[in-house]
Parts: sequence; C-alpha cells; structure tokens
Amino acid sequence: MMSTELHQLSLAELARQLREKKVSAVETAQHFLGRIRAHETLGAFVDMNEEATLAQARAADTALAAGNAGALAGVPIAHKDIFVTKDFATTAGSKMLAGYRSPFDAAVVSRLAAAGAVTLGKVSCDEFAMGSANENVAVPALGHPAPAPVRNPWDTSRIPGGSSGGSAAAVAARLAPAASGTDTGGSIRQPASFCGITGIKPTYGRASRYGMIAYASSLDQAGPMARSAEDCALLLSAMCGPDPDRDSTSLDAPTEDFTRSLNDKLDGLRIGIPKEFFGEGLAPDVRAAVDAALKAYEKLGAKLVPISLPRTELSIPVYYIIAPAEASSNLSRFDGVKFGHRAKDYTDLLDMYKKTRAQGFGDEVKRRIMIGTYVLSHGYYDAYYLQAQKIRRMIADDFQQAFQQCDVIAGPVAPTVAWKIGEKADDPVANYLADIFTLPASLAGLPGMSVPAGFGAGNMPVGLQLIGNYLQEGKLLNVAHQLQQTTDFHLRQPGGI
Amino acid sequence: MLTQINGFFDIVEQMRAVDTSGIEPLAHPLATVAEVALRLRDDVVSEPNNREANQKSAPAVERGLFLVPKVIE
Repeated sequence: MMSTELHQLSLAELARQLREKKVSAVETAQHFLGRIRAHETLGAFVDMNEEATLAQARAADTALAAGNAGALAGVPIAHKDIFVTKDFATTAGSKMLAGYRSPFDAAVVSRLAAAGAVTLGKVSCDEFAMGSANENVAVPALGHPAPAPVRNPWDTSRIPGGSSGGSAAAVAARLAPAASGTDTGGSIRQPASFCGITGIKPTYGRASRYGMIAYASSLDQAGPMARSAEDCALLLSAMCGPDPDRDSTSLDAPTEDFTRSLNDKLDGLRIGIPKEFFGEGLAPDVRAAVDAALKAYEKLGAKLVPISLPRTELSIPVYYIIAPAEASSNLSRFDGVKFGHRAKDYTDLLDMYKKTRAQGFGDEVKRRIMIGTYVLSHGYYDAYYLQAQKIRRMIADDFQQAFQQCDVIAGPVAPTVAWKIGEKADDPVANYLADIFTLPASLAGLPGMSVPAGFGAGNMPVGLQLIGNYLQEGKLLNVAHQLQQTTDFHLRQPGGI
Repeated sequence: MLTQINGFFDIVEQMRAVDTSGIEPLAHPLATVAEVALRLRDDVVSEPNNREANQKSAPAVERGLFLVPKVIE
C-alpha cells in the first residue's frame, strides 16, 4: 500500500490493514501529520505534539506485534479542543484558556486511547462550543498568526458549521480519518452536514462528560465524526460506557457493539417525516437532496410515515434560554484564580474578576452568560427558565408520541447549505434560527445523526438528519449504513485535497 | 450588544404565551421515559494528591497556595 493513499481508506479498512500489519501505526501517524501541515490554510488544527503522537503510535505498533491490541489500534483521531488533554493544549477556542495544559485526559479521550487510537492533535471549535459557524474562535490555528475562522474544504469561502467545525473540516479534507465532536444543540450534526461527512450524537448520558469542558450540562454530549456510519459505529462503541463516579448524569447503559446491526435489512422500517421540518424555511436545494434520500429508503423497503413535532419552532427560544442559563453557571469557574487567563492590572479581587472575564471571553460567550444570568434571576426565573423547562418536557413528549408511529425520524439537518464566512457573523439571532432542526432532539436528549445525502447550491454537501428513540444508536447507524450501501455521497471528496 | 440581546428576547416572546399549566419542568432529558435519580457516591477520598500538576496552569501560586488580591484588611 502506497502511503499516499492511506488517507483515502475508511477507518474500518485502515484498522484492518493495521491489524494485518500491511501498514504500521507510526507510518500512518506520520502520513496524517504531514497532511495536517500541508493543509494548515483550512485552520482546522489548533495544536499538534508530534512527539506524543508518535509515542502513541509506537505503543500501538508494539501492541499489534504482541497481538493484544485494541479494536482501534493505530487508528489516528483528532480531538475537538473542548476535551481536555494532557499531551496537547486545551483552549476551548477561548483566550480564557490560552496556553492551558490539563493535568488529565477527558474520559472520551482516554477511552479511545485505551482502544488503541492515536491522537493527531486538537481541532478548532467555537469558543466554549457556542456557535454554528466556527467563526467564534479566539485562538490562532496552527500556521496562522491570528485567530481565524475554520474554512470549509468544499469551498474555502464558506463556514464548516459549528461548533465542531474543525472536526468536520479535518475529516472532510482527509487530514484525519475521524474526529471527536460534541453536540449541545447540533454541534456534531450541523458541521457534519455542511462538510459532507457522517456524525452521530448519542443519547444524552451515553458518553461520559468527564473532562469535556461544560457548556450546557443537561444537553452536552460527545460523539464521533467520520466519513461513514460504519466508521462512526466503531468509534462510538469505544467512546460510550457508564462513568458513574465521574459524571453524575452518565447513563447506566452497558457498553455496546454498535457495528452489530449495521447490515440489518430495512424492510418494513417506518420512517417518520415531521411536517414541521419541511416548511417554507427549508431551502429548495436542501429539500431536493433530502427527498431523494427518502426515495432511496423507500427502495430499500422502508415506509414513510407523516408525523408531527408541533413544537419544533419553540425549540429555538427554549434552547436559547436553557443552554445560556446552564452556561452562565458553568462558566463562573473562569475567574482568573485557579487556572486560565488573569487580567494584568486590577485594584482588588472584584476588579480582578471583572477584568479577567471582560478580557478572556469573546462576544458570543458574553451574550450567553448575560442572557443566562438574566433568565435565572429573581423575578424572571419562572417566566423564562422554568417555562422553558416545561416546554422542554412537552417537546420530549411530542417525540414519544411520534415514536408510536415510526421507528426513526428523518429530515434535514439544517435549512440551508453552509453559508459564506462573515455572512451571519454580526447577527447572532440569524445563527440561532438556523439551528431549528437540530435543537428538538437535543432538548429531548435523543440520539441523532447526519448522513451525507447529496449536494445543493454551490455544490455544497447536504446532510440527512436521522433521529432515534433513546438508546437506539445501533438502529440509527444501521439505517445510515444501509443508505451508504446504495449511495456514494459519503465517498465524495472536496477538490484540491 | 444591547440591540442583539433585545433581538434575542423578541424570539423568546412566542414561548411565554404557551400554556404549560400542569406540566412538570424537565431537567434531565431521560426523565421523559424513566425515573432519573441523581446518584450520590460514597463520601471517601478517591483522588490522589496531585497538587503540583493541578496548579501548573494557575496564574499565581506560592507554596502550594493560590494567590489572590488581599480580601480582608
């Protein structure tokens, strides 16, 4: 195997070749490190540590030679810069954590390492995972003198989506066969859709939140981003598992092999089509690609069932009350005392807090902290926060109603394809409105994924969103994998890479 | 920033009109389908002393203590 082709292999195939010793983990790591350096203009990577990467690769080769290697031995992966890592800087895209070095690895990072995965580096994300475009970045990417938005490999004048935009861009550009991501309101699914890759957010509580820098704790969930559903299934199997002592909301659900049911046939599968996902806000090009995917499912023996998720539109205000409320509490730890940025000049402790936070946080983070603090304050708590939590239950109940008529739900991930860099940068509300189709499943804590479904305006990728009931990740991956047996959208790659 | 935050509260208005009488707030999403109780772990020391590593990224440390401006005169 010529090493120039390594980046074209699926993760599953790469893992097989590593097991069969057709290629070594060190050779693989070196190949991808070279690609990362050659594509720095995308701004996807924010930190590398070649020594640490190659040490992990050598350990994988030793385990492979000894015959006691894990399922992902030698497989390179990039981690979203929201997971803390001992061997790499962790910034969460914020000046607040510039130069921060964690004393420990996040649970997701150590679980993947235990399976043999080799960390290539850290990839860019919106500051504290707050954003839908990966434009809210306050730390420079590798090879860039100043902070810059991540570029979409399909069209470098466009955003890759967010907040896991660096993860999506890196996978789409074949700089890594896979990357970790996190999804609070769509941050895995939307960038996966915009960059033409596959990503899954599992059921809330499946993957440990230990060492994942908290944004909105009742919504945050980690998941894999890769090119195919099969690759995601392999990664998700390693990422998920109970962590009761370190994550208070970790689910007591056993580790699963999510590849188990990939090849199940879809005869008789009932796919729910929520009419609210196909209204006038949906761009015609996105609709055409989604409709074509649904037709393909019918050919595979599935039945389309009209359903209703009547509170879809309400999920926007509900999410943008609950998430900032939780963020305002979570981000209070950034006060310049124990770690991270501290202002240089101050008069007293309060002044130090104020200046540290005013300097350390970017505008979007400040907006959400202020909104969150406001909706939690006396006199507004009932009208905003509690009201949002009540509607959150109604939204979750709507899904349970829907799942009485269908096995999975399908629709668009986002109303449009990826927009131009800067197009919505000064209009936060426009960004919030574009999250409409991913927020409902987030609020309900349901597993959801994005599967490449074709191309829209500007030849930009379109993702099909699949939503399953609680703990039905295996079913979702099966449904996605079957589509990928009859379509090749997940195999297409951007030009110039 | 004020204009942007006011713009945000415009989209929140539609939420306030929803009749939610008799609906319990949902704090943990899986409480939709199952009883979710927050776990308590045993009150025992589980973390080893790792002070040096934990203070490595601190802005100001002296003799193992975090330094802050004087609070009490």
